Amino acid sequence: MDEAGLRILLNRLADTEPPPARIDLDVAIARGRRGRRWRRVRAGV
Amino acid sequence: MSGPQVDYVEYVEARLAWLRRLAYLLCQDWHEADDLVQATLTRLYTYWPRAARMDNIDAYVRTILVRTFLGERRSPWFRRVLLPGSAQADGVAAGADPDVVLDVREALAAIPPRQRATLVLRFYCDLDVAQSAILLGCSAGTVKSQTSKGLAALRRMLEPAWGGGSDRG
Repeated sequence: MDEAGLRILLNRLADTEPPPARIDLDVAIARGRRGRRWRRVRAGV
Repeated sequence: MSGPQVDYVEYVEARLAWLRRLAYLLCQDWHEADDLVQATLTRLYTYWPRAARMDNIDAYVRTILVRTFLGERRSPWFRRVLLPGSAQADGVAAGADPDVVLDVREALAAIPPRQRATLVLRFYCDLDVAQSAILLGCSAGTVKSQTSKGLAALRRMLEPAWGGGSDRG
């Protein structure tokens, strides 16, 4: 397999039919906000 | 919802499919990929004020995703709970040869995470050696050797299954 072959295979693999996403954006925002607060606390801001 | 939060949600909604695909190539499993994307989006929100000022937000997010992936793979907790062969239950792309897709997925899953990440960055994200080195936090020489080792490992695993592949160079 050469580089061009791998490129084609990776693109084919990426086209795999995905299941419904299990990602919860509200949770990401809530945890991200907490992370931002911690950063401020650590930085003493 | 405040302005920056609206921008964040708009960005995520527009790029979620791309992020999931990239995470899937790294993890070889959709459930793990979604966990990786969830962790990436959490981190992105924490650093959104900085990310939103960047010319290329995609590059920043890609860096978070790949480094989170490699960081998790290094942790003892992950090595303990990783179930071998869990990647085999997913579907395959419409129109693609299922055997080929399964062979490639199993071969990719079998190579070390850092080699896999290097191959994905070089040949799916089309990053050059220098860009990959910056993202991975290593030297250009390391990227070249990881690329060469990763390709050789894939060749070793795939070519016997595909009948030698001597015509593929």
